Amino acid sequence: MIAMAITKRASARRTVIQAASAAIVNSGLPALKACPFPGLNCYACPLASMACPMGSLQNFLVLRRVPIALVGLFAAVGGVVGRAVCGWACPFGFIQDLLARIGPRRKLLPTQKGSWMRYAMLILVALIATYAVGAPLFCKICPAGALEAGIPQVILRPGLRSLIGVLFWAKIVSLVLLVAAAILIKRPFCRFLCPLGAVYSPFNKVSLMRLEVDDTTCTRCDGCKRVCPVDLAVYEHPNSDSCIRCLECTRCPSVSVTWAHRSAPTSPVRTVEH
Amino acid sequence: MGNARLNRITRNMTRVPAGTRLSWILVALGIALLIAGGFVGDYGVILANARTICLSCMGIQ
Repeated sequence: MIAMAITKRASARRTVIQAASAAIVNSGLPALKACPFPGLNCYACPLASMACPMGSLQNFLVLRRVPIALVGLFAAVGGVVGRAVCGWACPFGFIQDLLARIGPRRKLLPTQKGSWMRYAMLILVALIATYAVGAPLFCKICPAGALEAGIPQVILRPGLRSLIGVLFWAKIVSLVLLVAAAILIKRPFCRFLCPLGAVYSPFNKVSLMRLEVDDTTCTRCDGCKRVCPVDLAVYEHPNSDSCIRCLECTRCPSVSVTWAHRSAPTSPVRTVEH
Repeated sequence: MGNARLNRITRNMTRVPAGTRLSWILVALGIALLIAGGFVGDYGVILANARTICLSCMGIQ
């Protein structure tokens, strides 16, 4: 057996793409506001140039309309790359990645227990409760909205300050707690609370883009887990619904990306859950 | 190894896996729905909503 481990140094490529994505979707040009951005980005941000898919989805439910285009967006994006949007394009995920860098080297909570909460957030809050109440309930508690819309809009529009109430301060407190958590725990919002992540999560198992682990060379050294932004041991579940497809683990030669149309069913490498 | 068995193995090696078919179906369905959404006015609804200053997002209302 040839022992494999993470030998490649971290690349700045993903950080550059995340920063570029955040800049484009918050470029201040409203020309694309009819188009939903695949990642979580509040459209009430003064600089937002595209629509938030989760806010738009809730708006459709409030209007009692079927969100045909949004379902299409989720299926098309998820079908090709699974949850890669979370790892490469989501501005809120990017902020959490930056916060994790200033935290202690050994991050707390290296577990996926509790990831069911993001499904609960999607089904109970963003879908059922929003439809029942007739108001976008997830937007009311969304920390991305507090950061990208609440704080800047209140600064830019003095008229809004007189309308500030308990909800605003509750959102600010939840944002502060989340920022503190993101310093100590890698991507807490993405792992436990993001309803958009819950939408894309099941696609990891069926997307064209897959991860493969070569069992003949993997020594289970946990190098992949150490570099993973969500603390996944990729050799256990190469296509876990918690994986954000950032591809940091592919710095290990035992882990590789494959596109489903190229993989042979008799391949010795593992591509599915056991 | 008999010819029949060899043929079966070769056929299995070249067959498109079921998961891959599902991936392509999802992608095709997604693109079709993205286009269909345009015909039923979904993008107009998204634009109308995105143009408003969302008080819920800000935590005002």
